[in-house]
Order: sequence, then structure tokens, then C-alpha cells
Amino acid sequence: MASLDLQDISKRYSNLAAVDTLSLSIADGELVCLLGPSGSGKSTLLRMIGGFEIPSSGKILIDGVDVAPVPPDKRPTAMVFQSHALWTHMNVWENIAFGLKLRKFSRDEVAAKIARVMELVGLTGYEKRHPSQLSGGQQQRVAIARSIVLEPKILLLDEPFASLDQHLREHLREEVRQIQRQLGITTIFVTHGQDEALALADRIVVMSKGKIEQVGTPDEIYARPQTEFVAGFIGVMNLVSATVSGGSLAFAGEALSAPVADGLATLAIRPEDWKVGEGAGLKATVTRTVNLGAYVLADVALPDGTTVKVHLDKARAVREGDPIEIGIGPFALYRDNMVIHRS
Amino acid sequence: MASDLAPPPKTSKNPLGLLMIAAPVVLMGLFLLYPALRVVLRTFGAADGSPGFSLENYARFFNDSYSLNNLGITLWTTVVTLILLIVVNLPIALYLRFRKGRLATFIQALALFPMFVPGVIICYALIRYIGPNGLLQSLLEHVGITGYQTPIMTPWGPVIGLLWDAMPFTLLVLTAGLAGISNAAIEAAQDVGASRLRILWSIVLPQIRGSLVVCTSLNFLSLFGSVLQPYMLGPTSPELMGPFMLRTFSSVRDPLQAGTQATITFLICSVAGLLYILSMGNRRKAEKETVA
Amino acid sequence: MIRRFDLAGLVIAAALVFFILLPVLTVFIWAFAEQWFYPSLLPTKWGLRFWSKVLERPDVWSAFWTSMKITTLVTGLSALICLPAAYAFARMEFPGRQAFMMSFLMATAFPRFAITISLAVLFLVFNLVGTVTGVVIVQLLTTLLLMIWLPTAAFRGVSRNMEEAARDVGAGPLRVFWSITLPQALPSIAAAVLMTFVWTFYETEGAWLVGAPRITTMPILMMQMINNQMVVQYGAVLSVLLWVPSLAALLLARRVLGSDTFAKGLGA
Repeated sequence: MASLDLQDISKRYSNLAAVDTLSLSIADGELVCLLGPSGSGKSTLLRMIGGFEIPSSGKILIDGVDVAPVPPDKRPTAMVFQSHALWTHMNVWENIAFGLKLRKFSRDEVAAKIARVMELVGLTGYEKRHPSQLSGGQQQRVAIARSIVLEPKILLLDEPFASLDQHLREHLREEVRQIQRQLGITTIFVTHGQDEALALADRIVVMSKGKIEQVGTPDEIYARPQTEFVAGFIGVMNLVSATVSGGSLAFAGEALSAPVADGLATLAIRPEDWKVGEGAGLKATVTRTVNLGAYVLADVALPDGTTVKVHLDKARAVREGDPIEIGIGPFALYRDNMVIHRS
Repeated sequence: MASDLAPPPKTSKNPLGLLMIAAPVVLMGLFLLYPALRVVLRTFGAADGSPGFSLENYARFFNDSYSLNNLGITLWTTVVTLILLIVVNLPIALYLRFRKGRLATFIQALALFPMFVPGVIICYALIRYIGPNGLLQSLLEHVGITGYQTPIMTPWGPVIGLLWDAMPFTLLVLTAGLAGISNAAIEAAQDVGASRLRILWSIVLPQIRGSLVVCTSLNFLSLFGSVLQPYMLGPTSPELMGPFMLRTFSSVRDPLQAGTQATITFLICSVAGLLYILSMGNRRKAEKETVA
Repeated sequence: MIRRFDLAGLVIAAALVFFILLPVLTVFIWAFAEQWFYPSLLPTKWGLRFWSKVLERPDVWSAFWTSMKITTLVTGLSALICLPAAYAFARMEFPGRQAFMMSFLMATAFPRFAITISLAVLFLVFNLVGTVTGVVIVQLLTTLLLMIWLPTAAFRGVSRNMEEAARDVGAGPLRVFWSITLPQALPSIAAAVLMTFVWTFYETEGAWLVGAPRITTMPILMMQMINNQMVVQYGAVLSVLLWVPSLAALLLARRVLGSDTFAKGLGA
């Protein structure tokens, strides 16, 4: 297996930078998710690692060797495509064997390797089927098998489950996680679904506009977003602009301690971080409730007219129009997209 | 879905591509563009081939009542066939757009069938069928209709043959155009109370205008220059431009006058050609805009 | 859907039977008729006598072989010239690519027979009138559009991800073309070749103008037989003999290509 080092990688199309001087280190055996909205450059970055795009500048080091100019067929990486890209004129066995044959493995070795990998993805017995005779999930499993049978140093997955339904997606996600643990293979997984990233990754790389916003474990990314973009992109977050003056911040008529320079800032607080109940401070009104199963996500109108989202216990049994008292809990302040204070 | 910023088509920037298309390009230049230009230029010279600009050849064509008659009958045949093609195929295309089932499949198969019949066989079949003492005449006689006048060897002969020949193409273009109209658009019109005719006129026809232009302009080109059907099914005089050019070249052995006739054909057809190219250009632009 | 009495459908179907089906049927009946006097609805005497008569004629065989020779030559040359171009148009970037593609489309916007006339006028200079070479060039020209357009669409239809996946598992560019791109595009390409073959076989006008009087291809022979009113059955037998295999071939091609490829190719 292998470690990966990206050093000042850029990819420009005419004047547009899809990936902009980006650096990232991934350790041996790690599973990293590239997460970001459409156009954030995550797929381009993955395709550069796989060799399908040539970086405009920068280095891609796999185990310390720069592979930036190396074509995909000569790279120790294997990619699973979003559309699975199985070769429809070959059956499952032939799809998986193709790469092995190019590597001149003996007939017995090929058979043994395919048998092993088919078992790993749970498709033993499907060797003679054609891709068109498989379900979407099975096709994607074959695509994964086709990639890992070559024992690549790095496995790349480009939104592999985007076309599958929610249930199947969760199921395959678990399988990929297990296979990855079993083989200990360094894996990079592109997704635009944060639940997928949070559930799967050792570390998440949040990208926006070709740059990295934050790298961290799922917990870090959720609990301590470094930038306002990440704060707004991951999970539900209340973002309210407020003015700081003389070390204190006025919010809905309350003064909060904020030891930062004067000026505008964005206050960020998670819905579950509000204090709720008698004596919490702000007298507010519930304007809308959404039942989310374990709890209720309520829109709450503050006295100054601001509406914020608040998690409420089911036990509270609030209805729209009910008065409620909430108070500010742990929050963060952002200015120019960067975090400047956490309480 | 969100495959990032779509990478532009990954193509190898390679002069090798130019090399690979060189053969057909050279072929087109050498055997299409060059001879056409050469003929056009020469026909604007003197009839004896001496250098200099002259309209002699055209004067000869336009002062010859036989040539003019031929041009007239060609235009008549082209226009009549064009109209009939739309009149016949539009109802079939509409039927196929809104009806499914066995009868629709049968109709589609029959209407597209001429695509698989080569021109010579079409002509032969029509001669045997609608020609003098043909099967149609026998059939009519059996139900008591006498006095059948065959259209073969009259100007209607080529019209029928060309109609047969151009039907599948016209139908395919029209059905493709109609397929682009969503059911919802039509249902919405029904919903606000539009009659069938109104829907055809205000919803359907405007949406297939592109298809109508494409099939009419391409049909114009092939009808105006048709040879086989007019030669086999039409009268010997006046004759259509196709057989006329052929005879002028092969039998009269007057290549310069044949070239003049070809140039006149080019000029008249250039209107249809231009229309076709323009509508293709518009379509491409529209496609690009929807993609972007 | 409410099953109503489908009057429009029945009218259209009946009209098409009279206009399309019966003429073709007439040819078939004639091919198996030994005697058919007017106004009998069916042959007065059935039989296969004219089949052996047609097959005994040396001019039929010589025209057949002439046609086969020219058609094979034209189809082969066309494939050789057009397939690389189609690949280049589909997958390569080179200066003027759009302009060249447009110019190929523009070639459709010319009246074909007028082009053929101007080509024949040029051939007079080079003594190519009445030669196989002349006929081959004229017919080759008519195949170019189909042979470039359909394979271009076929190559373009091959999923780029499939090709990339092959690169990914270690195949070089040539290997990818040979093992992935070509097999994926092959059915459509084969269909294009088949259609070109059949259409070239029946191409009449160009062969007539440039080939006459020395080159007699099959359709030209049929035309002569029909026009000279020799024996009615000759034309019928030849039509059936030659048309049935080509119909099978074309139907096969269409199955592979799908029904709207033709229309789409021309911008419908």
C-alpha cells in the first residue's frame, strides 16, 4: 500500500482553475473522502490522481515518486467510475480478467485471483453473466472487483453510488468500508453526500472552488468547522450576521462576550446547541415544526425578528405558535470565512 | 449527478487527426468541389470554349423553349411532390405519434418499407401495378370501374414514383420532430380548451418547423435532381432536368450544355441547400445553448 | 386508454396497402407467373420457368459480377478512407475540426446528379467515362457521408469511462482502441458497411452516366430489361432474386442502428 502526497496541484481550463494550488497528504491505509458541491474540483482532483487529467502544475507523489506525468495505465492507482464503466461486450469474468491478462499472469493465477475477489465482493457464481444482466448494485460491485483485483496501491472511487437508491447506497458503503479495512488499501472516495462522507471516512477533505476548506476527521469537521463555508455545508447550522464592538457581540438584545476585533462577524450555532426552557433568556415563538423522528426541528422567531432553527425534545410537544424560551449555547464566530472565536 | 465541473472533452491535441481526415477531404475537394466549380466557370465562357466571360450558353438555354419547358416541368414536379409528401406524411406521423398498438406498428412498417426497395425495383413495380393493363386496372375492372387512365408516361408518373421513394425519409424526419413535443404540452393545450385543429396549428406545427424545413429542403434537392423515376415513369417530352442532363451528356454529347443545365440546377437548388444549412446551424446553436 | 374504433388508422393502413404493398406484391406474383393475361387478377399459369431462363442468361451473370466487383471495391475503399476519419472526428482534437465536419454536412446540400454531371464532364478530360475507375469514383463519393457519419456517431457513443477504465487497468492507447473502442463500435460500423454495400449495389444514376455504354451493372441491366419490354418476368425474377437478400441485410442493419439514426443523422 502507499501514501499519497499532493504538492501545489493546480488544474486550469483556459482561465478557470478547477483545482487551485492544493496540497494534501494521505497516509498509508487511510480512507479519505473528498466532499464538496458540484464544481468544487473534487472529481478533477481525483482524475488527476488517477492520471486522467494532467495537472497544470504541481506534484503528485505516490510513496515519494512523482507520477504527475505518468499515464493512467502505468500508475499504481485503480479507479471505480460513477457510471461503473463496465465493458458491455465482455462478461463479468472477462471484465475482471482484462487487466490481469495485460499483466501476463498465468491462467491459474488469473483464475485464483478472480475467485478471491469475486468472493470478496460477494458475487461468486456470476462470472459468466454479462453486465446488462446484473442489477445496479451488482454492476458496481463488479467495477470494484475489477479495480481491486489488480492490487493497486491506491483505490479511487468517483461518486460510485450516485446512481443507486438510498438503501443500496448505505449497504454498499458498508461493504466498501469492510473491503477497505480488510485489504488496508489507501482509498480516496469522491462524494457530494455529506452523510456518506461522515459515515465512511477516516478523514474528510471539504473542497470549494478548487481549494481545500478543511481537512479533518468526521467529528472535527462537524464539531469544529474551520471556515464559514464548512459550517454552512456540513449538517444544519444557524448562521446569523452580527456586529462585534468592544469585545462584546449584540445578539437579539443580549450581549455575548466576544474577544475579537470590532466589526461584522457571522455567528454560527448548531440547532442542538441552544439552551431551551424556562430562564434560557430569549422569549421567542415557534413558527414551524418539522418532525425528524427522534426530535423536532423547529423554526423559532426571536424577538428581533430573526428566525433560527432549534432542536426540540419530542417530550416538549410544541406546536406552531407556541411561545418558547431559548438561550444561546456554544457558538463560533467567523469573519472573512475563517473562524475567529469559539465559545 | 454532481460530477464536478464537467471536464472539457478530453481529446488528444494531435495533428494526426488532420492526417486521418485528409483522404475524404481531398476526395471531396477533387471530385466534388473542383469539378463543380470548373463546370460553373466554363459555362460562363464562350460556347466554343474560347476564353473570356460570356452568357452564350445561358442564352442558348433560356431561348430554347424545349429547355424552358423542361425546367418548368421539373419545378412543377418538385413542388407538387413536396406538397403531397407533407400532405400524406403529416397525418401518418401524427397518427404514429399519438397511437400505439398493432395497427400503428403495421402502418409504420408499411410506410417505411420503401426505404428497403431500390429505385429500379420501385419503378418496375409501379409500371406493373399502375401501368397500362396493370394489376390496379384489373382490380378496378373487377369491381366494375372501367376507363382507367394510367398515370405512367404522364407528368403524374414521376410524382407517384418520387412520392414512393421519398416517403420513408419524410416520415422519419417528421416523427422525430413530433417525438420532441411533450405529451404535457399537448395536454395543457387540451386543458385550456383548444380544439384538435387549433392544437395542430398552434402547438404542433410551430414545434416541428425545423423538421419541416429539413425534410422539405433535402427533398427539394433530391427531387429536383431526380433521374430514375422521371426517366422510367415520365413522358419523354417534356422531360425533367435529371434525364435532360443525362441525355444532353450521353446522347447529344454536349458536355458544355449539360454543364449549363447542371449549373442552373445548382443555382435553383442552392436556395434549398442554404435553407438546410441554416436550419442545421440553428439547431446546433440551440443544442449548445441547452447544454450550457 | 379507451379503445375506440380507429377509423383514421384503418384508412391510413388501407391506403398504404394499396399504395405500397400491392405494387411490391405485383412484382412477386409476376416472378412466379408463366402466363398472366389482362384482366385476370392472378396469373393464368404459375411456374418457375423464367427463373431458369434468367439464370441462363450470360448478360445477367456478367452484370452481376460487374456489380459485385465495383460494389466490393467501393465499399472497401470507402471503409478504408472513412473509418479513420470517423474516429478522428469522434475522438481527436485538431485544427479546423468543426469546419471540416460542417463542410461534410454541406456536401448534402448539393443536388447530387448535377454534381455527377460536372464530375462526368471532368472525366471526359481524363478518359474516365465508360471505365470501372470512373464508376468507382462516382459511387465512392455517394458513400462518403454515410460512412463517415454513422461510424463517427458509433465511436462517439463509446463511453469515455469505459476507455478510461481500460487505461486504468493498464491498457495502452492502442490496446484500448483494439479491445474496447472497436468492439463497442463494431455493430454500428458493420451496419454502416452493410448499408453502404447494398446502396452502392443499387446505385443507378452515377453508374449509368459515367459507365455507359461500356459498364453494365445490375440495376442498369434491369432498367434495360424493363424499358425494352422484353419479357416481363425477367425484370420480376431479377428483382426478387436480388432484392430479398438485400432486404434481409438492411433490416439487420436497421435493427442494430435503431430507428431514428437515419433521421437524426440528417438533422431531424
